[in-house]
Amino acid sequence: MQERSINTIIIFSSLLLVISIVGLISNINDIRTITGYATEESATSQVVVQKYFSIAKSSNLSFINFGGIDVYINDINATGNYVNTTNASLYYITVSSDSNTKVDFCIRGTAMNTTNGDVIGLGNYTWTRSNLSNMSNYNDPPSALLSNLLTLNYTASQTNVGIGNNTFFRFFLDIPLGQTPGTYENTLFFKGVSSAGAGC
Amino acid sequence: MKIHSSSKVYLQQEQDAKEYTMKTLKLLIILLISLATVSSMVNARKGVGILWSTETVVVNENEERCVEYGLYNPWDEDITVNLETSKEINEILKTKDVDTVNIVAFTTHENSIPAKLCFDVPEVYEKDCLIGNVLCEKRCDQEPIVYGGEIIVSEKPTATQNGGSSTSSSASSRLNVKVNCTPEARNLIPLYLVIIVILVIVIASMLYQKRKIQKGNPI
Repeated sequence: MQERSINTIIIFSSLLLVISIVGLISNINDIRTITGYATEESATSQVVVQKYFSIAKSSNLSFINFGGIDVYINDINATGNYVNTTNASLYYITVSSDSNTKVDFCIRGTAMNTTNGDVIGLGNYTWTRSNLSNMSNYNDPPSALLSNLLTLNYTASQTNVGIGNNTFFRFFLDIPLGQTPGTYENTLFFKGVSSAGAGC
Repeated sequence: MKIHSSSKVYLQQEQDAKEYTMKTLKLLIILLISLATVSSMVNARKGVGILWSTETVVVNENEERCVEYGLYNPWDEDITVNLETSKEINEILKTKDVDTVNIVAFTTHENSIPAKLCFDVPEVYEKDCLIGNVLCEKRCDQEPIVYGGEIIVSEKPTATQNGGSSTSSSASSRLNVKVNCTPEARNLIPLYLVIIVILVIVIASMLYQKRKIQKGNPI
């Protein structure tokens, strides 16, 4: 290789080297995103707003019983649906006075089944809800005919329940014709969520 | 004597009246205590409570963030609760310092039991790389990624009593973990370094060649 060619390569390579070094520095600056000198000091003030609520079932709502049934009928009342002369419901949930937000109540449940695997489908279990415990106003609570089907996923039962207030529930069961005799059980889940939130 | 006898009778009557009053009072007290006990047993309730201070947290990729909650039970019976999470936030949940806890009766929100949940957010936004995992840039032009879910304080379902429905109550708060995307310029440093090294080798080799030629032709 001639000396002249070598010189050309050296000059060309040196030029490329300088360009590469400039590019490298520029890229480092791009990645670091240097913004300049800070000339201002700041103090942060902070406030944390807390939300809280608590709910409790009535003692009767710990267990819902439909009693012993020997016929295939619809809309069987749970034993605490209509009690005393006022037809009050013993099934209710209360929002504690130690709360600072209104609450939406959500409900879901499982199908009733026996240990032998016999099932009363979800479509046979219904519920209603009301602000009132008794039947003094016959438009409220709704009757079994206006009841809602129990579902596997949560559905809203009552919204915007105020602090210290109750929501009363009534439960109804249909026994389909030909249902196998047995002891049927299921679980109902009640969930409280803040009314200002995204719902159930 | 007559007078004496009548005063004796009077004293006896007074004594009887006192005893009768005492007995009645005792009975009344026992009745009241029993009533209070029975009514407190009938009305005894336990409940679940949750306290929170945020519903959305913004977290950077590869960052861990913890959120604190308070669990309480202002009702008049002790309760054992579970702390659970649901939906997408389960994917990024790293630790929770409370799983199951007993909350004594009359625990107000001010005395709530603290529960800390920590979330570990992975790298979720796509990078545009020229070769493998090098020479990458992040544009952040896609929709923000949010892990949504619920923090749930729930009681264990009650036992059934020979048929019927057992029940369980819970209190929940929504939580969204929004992942912040920080744009990154394409990292060309490895490419520049390789070119610089090659150029240095080429220049050094050429200088060596030149010196060799000059030594071979010493004019």
